[in-house]
Amino acid sequence: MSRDMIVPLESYRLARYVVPIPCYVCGEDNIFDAEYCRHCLAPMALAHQAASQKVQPRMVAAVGATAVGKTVFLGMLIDMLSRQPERVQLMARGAFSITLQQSTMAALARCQFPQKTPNEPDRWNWVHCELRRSRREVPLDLIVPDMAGEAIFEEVEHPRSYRVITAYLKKCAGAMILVDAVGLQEASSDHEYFAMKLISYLVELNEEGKPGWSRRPVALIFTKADQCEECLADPGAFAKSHASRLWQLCQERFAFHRFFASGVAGACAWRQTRRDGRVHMPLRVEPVGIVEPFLWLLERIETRRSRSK
Amino acid sequence: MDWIEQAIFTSAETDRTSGYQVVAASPGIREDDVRELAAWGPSHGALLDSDAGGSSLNAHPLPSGGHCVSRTTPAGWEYSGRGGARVYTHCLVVPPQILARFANNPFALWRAVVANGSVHVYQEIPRRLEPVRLPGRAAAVDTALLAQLCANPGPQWMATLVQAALDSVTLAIIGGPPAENVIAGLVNCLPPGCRTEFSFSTGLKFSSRRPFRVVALSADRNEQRRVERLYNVAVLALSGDPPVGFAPVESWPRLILRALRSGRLSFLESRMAIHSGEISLHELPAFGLQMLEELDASALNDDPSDQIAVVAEEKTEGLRIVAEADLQGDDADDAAGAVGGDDAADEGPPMIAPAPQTQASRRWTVAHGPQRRKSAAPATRRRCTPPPCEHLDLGDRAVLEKLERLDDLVFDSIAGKAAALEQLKELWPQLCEELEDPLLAESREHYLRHALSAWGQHGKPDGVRDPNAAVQLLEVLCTLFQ
Repeated sequence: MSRDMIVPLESYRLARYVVPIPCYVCGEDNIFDAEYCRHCLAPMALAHQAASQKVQPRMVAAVGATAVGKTVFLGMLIDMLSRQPERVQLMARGAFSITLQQSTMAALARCQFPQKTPNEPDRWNWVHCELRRSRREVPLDLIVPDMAGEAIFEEVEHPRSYRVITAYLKKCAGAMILVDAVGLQEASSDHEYFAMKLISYLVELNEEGKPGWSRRPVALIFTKADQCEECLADPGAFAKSHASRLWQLCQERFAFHRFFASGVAGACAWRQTRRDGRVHMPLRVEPVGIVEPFLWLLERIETRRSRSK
Repeated sequence: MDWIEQAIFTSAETDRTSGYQVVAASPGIREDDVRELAAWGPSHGALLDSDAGGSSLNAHPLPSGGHCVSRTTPAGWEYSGRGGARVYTHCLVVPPQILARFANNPFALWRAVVANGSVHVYQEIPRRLEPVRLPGRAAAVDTALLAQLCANPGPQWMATLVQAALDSVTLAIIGGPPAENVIAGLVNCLPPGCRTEFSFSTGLKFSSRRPFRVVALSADRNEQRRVERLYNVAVLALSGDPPVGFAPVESWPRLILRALRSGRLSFLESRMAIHSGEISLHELPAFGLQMLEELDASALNDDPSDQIAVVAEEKTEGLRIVAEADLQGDDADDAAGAVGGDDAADEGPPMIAPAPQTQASRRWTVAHGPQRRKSAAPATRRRCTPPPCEHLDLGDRAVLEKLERLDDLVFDSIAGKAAALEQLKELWPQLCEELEDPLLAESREHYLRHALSAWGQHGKPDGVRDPNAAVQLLEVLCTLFQ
């Protein structure tokens, strides 16, 4: 063995791992090149993007039971806002923020609903976007994940089973709770009970130094309202008549809440296919009530923000 | 006889909720186990191959101390009409004593359960499942499977997989023979007592939500890149040469390499059967060394002439040491295999396909020919050259004391003592002047091995390592090698 051997010392590389990067959602430390938080599995891109700007992004949750239409609602919302600069100008931050919009619109264009969202948080779509109203100068950064209904259910039933949901909902500035209008019309109480559980869960979530959920704005959105005209006409009255327990709970628990109705498909049908079995398909795309709940929520968040200043 | 509880995790509409959930379970499953099954349960689109033939065998520990052995398959369509196959997972909650009867081998247990007719894919899922009774047991090692894997991907790859599995928090395998065979082979290459430490899935997409220790990856390059970027995941593509980073350097992977190369599968099987369940992962390095010695000893007892062949080959390599050859690709064993070295004395079944003849073995055949086997004198197997210690004048107490002092300083420095490192920096240049080069080289080799071993043992359970320790190790090595 030669004594003149040169051993390159590249220990400086290790130094990069010494500086931890906190996850934007759960706040736990991660190494600088992690793609997902190793504690909650939220994308670390959010932390890197947040670190590069002065104003911290706000978070808004879209929650509801499985198959209630969260993915379709969020995908359509992002698509509509990105097409309507005269109302609110939405710009995606990061390529990953466009995936939800892309997959939803591609599926609807094929007369299909988007596929079921997997339970695994590292396979969820996250949207980080910049919102700017024409009359405002300072843009608002928002983060919205498309969470799986089953994961939300598990978290509600067994708190902290999904760290990402616990941490995210603690930090959220507001929420959109989606409830299946068709289920309520058919007198199925499961949807109402789930929404009630969700509200009870939210109210119990408190983070130190932040106002509880009773002071945060909550939009209750009846989805699939295109199949339920009564709901579309007056969502508040529909809630009072078809989900009275939910309506009552909201009155007691939330200072700022409002009922909305939304729909994406103008009409739906069932189709039997060899590849996918019996599939529910939208016959046409007629979005209704998509942007309104979001704009209302945005208005309330902005109001709270300006008051807190 | 103990019972195996069972549960089904799939997507359905039940009284409790809709979507992916534990839809049915036998009454003996604990609540915390049910929640764990739900946490690890694969949901929509989780199968690597969602066609009718696709499936995944999975195994992971449970809070109750038992193990979940499960099979995931596509079964019909998603109930909500959103397209895609319904992912159906049949879970068995296996008490440790039953898994031990099957040599802690989930593959063997699942085969027995299927043969017993105890698992079905239910189209109409029953509200309640009954526990299963499972008689029988399994051999410690599936020698037929290992013989098959000796042919493809080969002993070197299998030893590399074992090394990588031991070194990594998560090991992801791409390509090669069917993932189920490769992972089953990997399980068979571990002592039964260690197998439960290696949770695995053979056909599920990787998700940090399901922290399996060994997983298979699909051919999808995007998915591969995603996993490659993850922290603590080692990705091995079973094509071409095995990566140097996971060369079998530890005693157990080296044993596997030598046993597979020489086709001594029944040696492996018999020793694992004797020590079934006794050896934990912590004890594996020492057990590996013991087994290597036993392997050598049994080879010597079986046919002394085999050692001649090994020595003859070694002499062609000049100053090379067989132990070193193990590290660098086991040329010596290849050579032995080519001339019927310690393989010839093997009591195990013949391999389906012999390991390819390497350059070293070809060199031996051409340069010396088999006739040399008879003429060469039996010699020690380990070293063919005068050992470096022969350069020592054992009567020189001063040198011996210096070497002992060197040992102490190096070990203390590697352990993180800064003062020892400072003293080492002073002593080492002096010794370099006084000692012969071969002795220095051997010392360096031993210290390098110790440093690697110390680094390997240094990781915390979550795989996080202290960079200060790395810097200290690098400083010690730089001092010794400059």
